[in-house]
Amino acid sequence: MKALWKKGLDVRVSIIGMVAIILLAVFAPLIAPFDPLKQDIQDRMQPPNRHHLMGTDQLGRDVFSRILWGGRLSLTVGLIAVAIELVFGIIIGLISGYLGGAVDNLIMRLCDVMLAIPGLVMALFIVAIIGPGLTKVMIALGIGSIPGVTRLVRGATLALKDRDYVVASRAAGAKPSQVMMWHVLPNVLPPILVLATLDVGTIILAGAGLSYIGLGAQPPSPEWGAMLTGARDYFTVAWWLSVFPGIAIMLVVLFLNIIGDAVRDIIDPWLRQVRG
Amino acid sequence: MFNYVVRRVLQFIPVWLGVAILVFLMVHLIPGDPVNAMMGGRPISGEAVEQMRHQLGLDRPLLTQLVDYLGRAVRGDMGNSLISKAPVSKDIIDRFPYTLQLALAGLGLGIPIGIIFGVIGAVKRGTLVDKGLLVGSLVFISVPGFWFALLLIYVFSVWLGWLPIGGTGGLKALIMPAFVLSLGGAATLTRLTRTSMLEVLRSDYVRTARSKGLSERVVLYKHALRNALNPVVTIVGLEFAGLLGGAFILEQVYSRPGLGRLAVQAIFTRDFPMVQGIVLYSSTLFLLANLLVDISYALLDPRIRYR
Repeated sequence: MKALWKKGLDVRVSIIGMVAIILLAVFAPLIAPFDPLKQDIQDRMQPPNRHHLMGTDQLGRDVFSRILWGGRLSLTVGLIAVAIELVFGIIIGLISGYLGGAVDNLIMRLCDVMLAIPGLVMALFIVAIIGPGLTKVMIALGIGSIPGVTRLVRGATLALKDRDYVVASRAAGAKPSQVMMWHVLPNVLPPILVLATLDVGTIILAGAGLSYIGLGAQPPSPEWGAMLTGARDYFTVAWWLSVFPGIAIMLVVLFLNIIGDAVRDIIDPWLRQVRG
Repeated sequence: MFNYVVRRVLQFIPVWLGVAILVFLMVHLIPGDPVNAMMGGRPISGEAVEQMRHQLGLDRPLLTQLVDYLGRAVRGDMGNSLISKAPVSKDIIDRFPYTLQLALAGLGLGIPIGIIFGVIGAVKRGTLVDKGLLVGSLVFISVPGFWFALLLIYVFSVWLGWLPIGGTGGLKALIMPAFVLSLGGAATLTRLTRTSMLEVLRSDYVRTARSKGLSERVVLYKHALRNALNPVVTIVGLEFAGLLGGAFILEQVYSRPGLGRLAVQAIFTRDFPMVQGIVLYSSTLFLLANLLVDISYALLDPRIRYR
């Protein structure tokens, strides 16, 4: 953590920015000056002013409040999808790398097949099976990113499983599940951490895109991508409707990318050690 | 070389079959009864359900269905649309050029932009220009394309009136979406080219070339860049997946009647054969793009062929 802070000004700004965004999202109910769904026709299409920091939309809803609440949705999309990818990716990857043989072969071929379907098309495919909606999009994006984690974990497991301490623990009579949990898993976590940080950003971006085209969050949800769908028809008369949600998405993804890159730089010597 | 190509093509076939099987299984993966799902909860008589099940071949053993599906898919027949009853492949082939045009234009713009900026960054390493390019590329990786597209429409169509808002009106309508689409890839390539170039510039043969008294220009472009581009070529195939996905979403912003819009429509109307067709089609394309990249990579780099 200390090394991360010392990486440079951009990393420090990103960490502070990300912490601020998380706090704003968590405490949105307390901070938001208005109800994000409350319509006030009298007050609609107001440009940003003292009362409405980011203006109001075509139904008189306060854009600032909607952005705050939307942050909870976008961050949830990122976290849930990454949680899915991590849980399944790690378990399947450990099994594949540790057991080897036919099981490994089968799992790896399945990964090849899933990776042969372009990411967004994969998400569309899964959404078509389980149906549209924000929760479904989280699941779809999570499932779609499992093969990436699986491959990484498998590779690291292969590199680790013949190390002396792993062999020793096996010789001492530890069950495969125990060896994987106590000796292999802790050592594959660092690179996965990097991948996960970068994936949260990518997934938030993809989730916003899917919501934008109508497959994710449905109106009147203040999800950022969905807010932009509504804003499209008004952007010549009300720029604030499209500018602020877009900036919000960009900042979150940018901060996560900068932090992820910095973490990778720090972990890199370690990565070489495992791979080498 | 010939052996390499044969081997690479042989690797392509099982993966493609895997994708086709996965796509085939889609209808069977739908929670609950697929026919009910296709009807979207609309009331339907038991007789009609049976008829539809028969029409879709769902009343036959799974393996028979699979063999039948694969046999037709290989010949490009991906069933009929549940909505229009016309062959799925016809709609896909009609719409596909709009997506391919956009994806290729995005690729055509993104590659040179990325390589040029990557080289500039490496040559001016550590300067303000380099830092600007690094931050700038990260910004463009993070910016939602569909949002940036809206901003550009505002500037170039509404405000300046130079370019059409969208649609299919020839080259002019392609400029803006292609540019937006190219940004993410260009930004990734900038970072990759820079790293790769920096590595190559440290190598012995570059030092030798310099010490021979060759001009910096020749060293940079003839010796360094050509070698630095190797990892760049491999990533181009993978970038194609991102471009295809990006194109799917940008089609909504720019009202282009491509595969992305067809897919979204199909998902909402529960036109499963159409969705299956689009997934199989775009994956086939992605696999072919990667095959092409791998083969051209082997042409460029003799070391690959002998591995």
